[in-house]
Amino acid sequence: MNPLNLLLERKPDPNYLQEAAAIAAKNRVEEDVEAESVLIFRVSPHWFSLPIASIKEIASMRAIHQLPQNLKAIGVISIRGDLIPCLSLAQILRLDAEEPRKNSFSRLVVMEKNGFTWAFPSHEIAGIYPLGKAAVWDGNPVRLLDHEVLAELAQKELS
Amino acid sequence: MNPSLIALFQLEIESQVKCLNDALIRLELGEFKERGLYAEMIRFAHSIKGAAKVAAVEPIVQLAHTLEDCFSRSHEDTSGMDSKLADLCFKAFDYLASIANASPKDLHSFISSHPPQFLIEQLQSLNRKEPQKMAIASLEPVLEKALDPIKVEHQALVKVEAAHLNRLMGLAGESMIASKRLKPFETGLLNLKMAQSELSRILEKLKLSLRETSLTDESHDCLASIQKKHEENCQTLSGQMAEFQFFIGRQLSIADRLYTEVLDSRMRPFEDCLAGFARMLRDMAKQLHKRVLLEVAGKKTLVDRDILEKLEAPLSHLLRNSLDHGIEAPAEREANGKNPIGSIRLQAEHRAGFLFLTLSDDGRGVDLNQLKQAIIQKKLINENDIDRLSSQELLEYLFLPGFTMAKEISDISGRGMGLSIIKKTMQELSGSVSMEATEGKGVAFYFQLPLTLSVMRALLVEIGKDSYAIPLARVEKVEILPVKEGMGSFYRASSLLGIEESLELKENLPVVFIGNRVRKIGLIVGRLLGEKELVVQPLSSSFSSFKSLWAGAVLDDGSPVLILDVEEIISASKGFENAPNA
Repeated sequence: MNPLNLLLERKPDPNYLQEAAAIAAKNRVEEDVEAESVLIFRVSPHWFSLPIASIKEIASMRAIHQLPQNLKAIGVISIRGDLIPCLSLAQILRLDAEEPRKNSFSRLVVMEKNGFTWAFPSHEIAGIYPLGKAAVWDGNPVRLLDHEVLAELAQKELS
Repeated sequence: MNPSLIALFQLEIESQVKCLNDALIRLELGEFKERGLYAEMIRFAHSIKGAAKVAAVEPIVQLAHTLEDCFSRSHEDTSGMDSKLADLCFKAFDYLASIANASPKDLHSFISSHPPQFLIEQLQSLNRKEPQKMAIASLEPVLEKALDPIKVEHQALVKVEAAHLNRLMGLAGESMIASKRLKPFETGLLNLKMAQSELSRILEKLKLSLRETSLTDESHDCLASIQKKHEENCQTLSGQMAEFQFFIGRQLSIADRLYTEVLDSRMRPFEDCLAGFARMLRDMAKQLHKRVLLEVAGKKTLVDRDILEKLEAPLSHLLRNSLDHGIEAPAEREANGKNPIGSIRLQAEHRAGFLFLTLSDDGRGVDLNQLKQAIIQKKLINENDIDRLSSQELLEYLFLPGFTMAKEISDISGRGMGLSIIKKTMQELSGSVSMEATEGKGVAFYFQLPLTLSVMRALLVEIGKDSYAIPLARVEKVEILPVKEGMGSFYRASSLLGIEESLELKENLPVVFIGNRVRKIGLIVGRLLGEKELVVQPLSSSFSSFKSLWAGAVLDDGSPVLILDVEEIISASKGFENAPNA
């Protein structure tokens, strides 16, 4: 007889069914929540989300120093002693939106991609949620942003 | 072969070769008469031999041994070394230097492809005119005993990425700013304490006024416990405050020390950029048939490594200039009653928060009449006006690009670009250079540089609604003047920078005067905020399109400030000539 058939046609272990059933009965463990999670935030009336892996930190609102030769809403901020550009997300996405006022909910979202660090102000941060549950927030649609394209647009804005 | 052992061997060779070069240069200048220098050189060569033995590099052992032979024979010989042998020795030093710079991994293949045999044979043949084997043999054991291997102090060095250091710098600065913010908090606590004592007095008054009235037992108890609780609170507050004050003091001093330490980590001794200069001058002098001694004072003066790096080229250029144009041939010097050996002095010192470098020679100086002729010839000034210029102003012309007094262009100097490049380098470093010359007595260059590029004194001004900084070294004066935009060489800073500013109609406006040697302008700013020491932070490449910015910094309150690039602003102002008032 073919040895392969011998292998395939051997009798199963008597405990096999029980073992398999025990594995199937276990709750599925959520895999790598980090990669699947997004930060939900608001800029003016629009709700957006970004994969949290692209976000370096959320910082409190602080003084934004305007940049010369540029009347658009961009400036410089100091994050832990580092000077990084701060841009308006509404400006980047060409949305009609008033600039965030300095209120208690405003935060700065600091992004990093390949050594390019930049920040944008957000009016409100909702929190971190699994991507699957992040389509709607507070009755409003949440738009998932592509952080790589966003970084490119931000760099274009600076040049 | 153990690579770390090879690396140690190379390090040893490097430092000993430096000493050998220095000693032989001095020896050559002293006509090979100074006995003590031979003994010194024997020791250096011996150290190389020892190191080569440990590292088992046999050809180097032989070369070092031959050098030792040459030195000790010259030491014995009353006429000393001859210049032919000295030249050969210099060649041997160069060979050793190349060994020190070879990659440790390929050292053996490097030596087998560049064997020192030829050098050894030549040295031996020159040395063996009159073999004195006995003398050498008798010297050897004495040396062996007396020779403590000369320890050149190597401070342990590690390589750190510049980016890390910059981050460290930013964090140290931030920690200092954070600590400074504790002070207002302390004041708040102090106010609370004062309010508490106010409360004590009110309570006391209440108690007095209630003495006449009969109180219920309950009210009485209540009052007593209020007073007791209040006293407790006062005590707790006092205790906490004392602890907090102690903490603030400690925190401030730690933050301050951390900050100074990080700053210091950027500093290197001045001698780091001098390594090859003495030898370069000696070789050049030989070629020009001149004799010169380079003296350096303040070798240990600490200089920011970024500045040090940029100083090497200008200094080497000026040294070459001095030797080529300044120092005369020995016969001419003697005829003028000077020491036949020319002297070039380089001095570095810290003074008044700046680094001062002086490079002076005792050569022929600058012939001012000839300089005047050259200026007139190049039509840089009217013939009638030239006599009104001071010697200082005349010398300034030498810094113009392409201006030269040399009649021929040699491969050493003469194109007239050098000084203008030096001037530009100095401006980039926020420093300055000036020159002094006495005919027949020599030339001196004075450099004034910031101690470090990481800390800068700057004038803070408000343009638009934000604060900007102008390096103080580039500010010529500040005045409050009745000016209007479009008037002469006055420019509104906000329009040069493209910043929105609500124009106030005021009679007198603050003006900051900046300039380079071709153009001076008055910059009208919104407000003067004062002078401040800033920790300079290079701006990341994200900001590279903003040409008018030189760097950034963070103020005590954590808000950013941008440091302006004065050169860029001045050149930007050219495009604004006759611009309408906007």
